[in-house]
This record gives sequence, C-alpha cells and structure tokens, in this order.
Amino acid sequence: MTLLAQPPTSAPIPECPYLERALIEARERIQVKRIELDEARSRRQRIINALRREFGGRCYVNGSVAHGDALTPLTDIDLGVVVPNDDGVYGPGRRGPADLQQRAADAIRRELGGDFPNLRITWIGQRRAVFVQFGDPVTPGQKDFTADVITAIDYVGGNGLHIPDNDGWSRSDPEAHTRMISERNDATHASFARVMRLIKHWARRNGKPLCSWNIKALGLEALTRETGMLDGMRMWFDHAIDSLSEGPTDDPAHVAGPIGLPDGWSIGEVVRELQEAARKLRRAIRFEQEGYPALALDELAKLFRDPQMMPGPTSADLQSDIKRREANLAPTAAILPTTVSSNALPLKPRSWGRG
Amino acid sequence: MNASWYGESMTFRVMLEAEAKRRYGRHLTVRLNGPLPQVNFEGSLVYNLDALDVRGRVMPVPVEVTFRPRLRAQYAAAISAEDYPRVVADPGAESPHRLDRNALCLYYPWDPPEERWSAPMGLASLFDLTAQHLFYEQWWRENDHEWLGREAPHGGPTR
Repeated sequence: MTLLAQPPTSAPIPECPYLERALIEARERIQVKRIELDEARSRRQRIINALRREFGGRCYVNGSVAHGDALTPLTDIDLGVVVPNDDGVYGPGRRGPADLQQRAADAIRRELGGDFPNLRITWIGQRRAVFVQFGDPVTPGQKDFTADVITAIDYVGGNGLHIPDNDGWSRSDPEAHTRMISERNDATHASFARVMRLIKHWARRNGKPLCSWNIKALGLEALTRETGMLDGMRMWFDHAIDSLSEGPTDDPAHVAGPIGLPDGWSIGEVVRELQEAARKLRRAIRFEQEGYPALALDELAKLFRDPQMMPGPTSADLQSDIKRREANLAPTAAILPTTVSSNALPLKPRSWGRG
Repeated sequence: MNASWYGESMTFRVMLEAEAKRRYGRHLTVRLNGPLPQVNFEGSLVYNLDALDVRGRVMPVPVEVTFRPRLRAQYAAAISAEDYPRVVADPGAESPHRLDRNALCLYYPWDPPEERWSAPMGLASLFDLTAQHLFYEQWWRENDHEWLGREAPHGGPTR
C-alpha cells in the first residue's frame, strides 16, 4: 500500500493546510503496514489456490485489502469462488450452498492445516461465508486473523452472483463492487481510498454506526474527483447526511437490496452521529480559517477520539489560541473557545466549594 | 414515599430533556429510581451522558446528573431541588470547586436565580456548563491554580 501512502500530488491546494497536514499524518498512522498486507495477501492466495483446485471456476477478492483502504491492525480478508454451475444444480429453488461450503472448508483445511495448527473453519450457522480462523494473527498483539470465504454461483438472469444466504441464496455483485472501487481509486488518484480510511476509522471510534461497505458505497456517490483529506471528509459527511436522511444506501451495483445498518442502530441515530461529526469538522475548519490552529486541531481530534491516531494540541498552544480568541471575541460570538458546544452559555455562574 | 415528585412528572422531564436528547441522542440515557423507604431513599432521576466533549481533551467525558426529590436543609432554603442536581464527572480529580472530590460545584446556590442554572434552562445547558467547568479545572491544574471563571467564597452563608 506504499502507493496510497503518498500525499496527493494534484489535488486542489487545501484551504486549511494545518488540518490537512494533521489528517495526512493521522492517516499514515492508521493505514495498514506493508508487512501486514504481504502476509494477508499470502494467506489469501493460498486460500484461492485451494478453491481453484477444488472447484475450478474463478475467484474474486473484495473487502478492505482488495479495495486499498485497509487499516492497521489488519484482522480479516474477504474473498470468494464462483463455482461452475453449468448444469444448474445449485440456485434458488434447487440445491442450497451447504455442500459447496463443506467442500470449500475441507479444501482450505487441506491447504493450510499443516502450517496453521490452530486453524478453525466453520460454516454451519454462518449466514453467508465459510469463516476461517487462522489461530495466528497477522498483526502482533491481535487476537487472530480471519477470512470470510464465499462460495457463489453465477446469476444466470443478469448481473452479479448468487451468494449463500443461510440455507438459500441471495443476489449480490462483489466483483462489480471491487471493480467500481478500483476504478474510483484510479480516477481520484487514490484520494478515495485515503478518505475512506479516515471515515472508517471515525466509524470504528464512534460506535460503528455504519459498516465499511456502506461507508464506501456512500463514498462512491460523494467522491468523484481527486480531493484533499479535509475536503473529501467534508464532502462525504455532507452527502451521507443527505442520503441517509432519505433512506438506506442502495447497492452501488444495483443488484442487492439497500445496505442494512449495524445491529442496534436506527437510521435517525446514524444521521445524528453524522451530523455531530460534520459539526465538529465545520468548527475545525472555521477555527483554522479564523487563525486558531490549536482550537481547530482540538475539534478535529475530538472527531476521531483516538489520541494515538490524532493527538490533540499541546496545552500551551491551546491556551494561546483561547486567550487570543477571547480577546478578539464579541460577547455574542457563536462558539465560545472554552466550550465545545455551539451554544453560547446563557450565564456566567460563580463556581464554589463547601470550604 | 407514595407522593409523586417532580422527577416523575413527564411535563418536567420533557422540558428538561428535549434539547439534550436532540443534541446527544443515544449517548444520553435516563433512569427513574423508585423510592426505597426501608433505607430512607426517596428516589432519584439520573441522567448519564457517555460522551461530553471538553475543550482540550480528545476523549469525551462521561457525566452523571442526579436529581433528588429534596435537598438537604442547608441548601433547601436557598434553591429548589430541581435547580440543584448533583453533577459528577472525572470522579476524584483535583479541583478547587467540588464537593467530596466528585460532584462539581458549577454555581453558587445562594446567588440570585439569574446567575445560576435552573431546570427550565434545560439539561443541554447544564452539560455546557459542565464542559466549561471541566475545562476550567484542567486549566487550573496545569496553570498554577489559575481559575478562569468567576468564583464564590467557599462555604455557604449558613455556615
């Protein structure tokens, strides 16, 4: 992923260079490491080899490694095999995916079992994938590294595939998804993947209101040109708020139904989280444009809630900005430097103590 | 205690919570604790906000606000119980303006009403005050005990 680590070369000059630099540095801290990626790809290739030997047909890759937006720690990979089904044995109303999943599990176990003694492969009870637990993390310190392996068949009547859905099948087009993401990365000179990394990390640190695929599907709608990080994030949040306010996100390939929300989230709650994030982003931009970079960074760091990824400003810099801004503030200014809320406090009470 | 108190009134709660619920959504939870006469507990209305943003802090701060049916006699003569909840954040942090090291002394109960928070202002503005107070505390700890806000003398006039 070295290519994606380079800063944009021809994106518009950012209006907030301080925040843009902070985002570039933060992104570099969270992006997948070369050693993680190499190991993940090696394991993925071995699964592909096993599936090809077992089924013939074609394999595809998707998920964050295939889409170029993986984060560290890297914990999983996604891939699938499209099993030849010329005789039409499998499909809706015919045979379900169970025996294909069993064969895939056996083939993967034969390929990897010798090198991964703690390997566990389960497919019974999984909705879609054969779930491979390597028992050996790619990133030191992580619990494990896993693979979701789909045993699909071609959809004869149109675009896409039939993929397992419990005992039956449902439609999806993961090959088109990866192709669309790849084309968008090319068209945006990789700024799409860079912005997606930041948004995915925001989601990871804020209760996961959207799954990664939903984030990227919204990104495909929102990010059509090369952008800086700040501009890209602003475009994504603004679009996501508008789009989700109207309903769940459509499948970009127009094959599957709308993308579901994570368990425990309503669409109203998701929109509220997005609005709050967008407010922080706007306040950060406004602070930098007014000449208060430490206050700007304080707002941006709060968006991610991850001091390892984006540390806040130093206390001295923050105090300097606060004092300057207080001196310059009109009494009715909308954002008080000492609070984070956009509401001006209605009173200036006296703090006290019991003595 | 069978008689109802303000915490059980939906009218009171809607007035108190409306803006805060809009602002904080699922991050704000509420529970109404019934009375336990056997231990002389009259009940409480407790709000928990899991994510209050405070200037200068990357991570949000959990805050608990507790309303009780009545205050101790020391305060009851000065201020209504609904206007003087117990607000706890950063428990144990060093500060010049706390009760028992946990509850924040956000305002002086004996000040005139226009200089202190009251329930009709809503929970959202109480969280704003709390965020400012926590920022002042951090500043006080890092800046040679300088307090940025206004201060009342410690101890109440009844002492």
